Amino acid sequence: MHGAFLTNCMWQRDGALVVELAGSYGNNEVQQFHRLALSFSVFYSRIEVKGLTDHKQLEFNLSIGEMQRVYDFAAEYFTNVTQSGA
Amino acid sequence: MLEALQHVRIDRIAFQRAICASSGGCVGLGAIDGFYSGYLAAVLAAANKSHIPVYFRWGWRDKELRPLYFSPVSPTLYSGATPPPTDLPSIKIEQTMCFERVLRSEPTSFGAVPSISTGTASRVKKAAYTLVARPPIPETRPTKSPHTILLYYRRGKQRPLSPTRKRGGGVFFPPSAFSIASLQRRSPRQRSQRPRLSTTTQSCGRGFSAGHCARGVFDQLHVATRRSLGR
Repeated sequence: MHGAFLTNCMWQRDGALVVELAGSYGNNEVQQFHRLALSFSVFYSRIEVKGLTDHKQLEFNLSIGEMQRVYDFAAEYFTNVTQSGA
Repeated sequence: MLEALQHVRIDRIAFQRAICASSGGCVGLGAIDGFYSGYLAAVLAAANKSHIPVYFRWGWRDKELRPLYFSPVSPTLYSGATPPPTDLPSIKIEQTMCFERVLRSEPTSFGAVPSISTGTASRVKKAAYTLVARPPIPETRPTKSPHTILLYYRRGKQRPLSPTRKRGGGVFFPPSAFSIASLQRRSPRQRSQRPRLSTTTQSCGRGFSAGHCARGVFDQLHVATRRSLGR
């Protein structure tokens, strides 16, 4: 889940968090969104999704463990970032 | 371009090819109206250069580029591209290799994003926020601690799962977006307990899109978190 959709992270507020669900296939463009988020003062986390194996895939499944990681990122963010006033 | 507009005297911008001209998902004016119209309006406004014309080469055989303006005072965000108030002449493409300066970054394989300075990014972002009546996501910074966050789907979880909705060539459009909301206070004991997802509830089977699948999981998150809070 990247491309134009994830490019919108540049409009997020400073200090916001974006969590990318990235495919398990190699794609160097993924690096761009990490840099884009950092350039616009947005925290970035990436989760590799096993069910997304091709760049043109329209649907994929998320496992419970992967969604748990999304939750963990969000919980850690709210605990360590927003409450510290960053 | 973001950085150059801030520091270099520029009187026009010419795109040698239309934005997203070669990608199957965003060909044509939709890409301009849906994203780049607001993007260019914000970028130009951040540099106080909303008055300069932007030229697009719409077709690969086109030799003449016609200008558009992307102004924050356009009627709506989605029709930010307006024809010039005066009849500007088109410009012709000529075969030339002449660069006043080249912006590049290391590694050079994927773009120049790291060359954007913090100040430029901040100015562009502030200009973009002025283009919309209200920032799309309200400020939700907690004022008291401790807090926890509940992730849930906007639609009532009592309603049955509906079939995946597809429009526009198989692109998935969720009925509404996921939301991060309901910051609620937790006791120190509750904070030490990390909510776990239940594996006995509905799993994501074949035929469900990512968004559809995630809805069920977010419902589980909601339930699991509420359970951990003793509600």
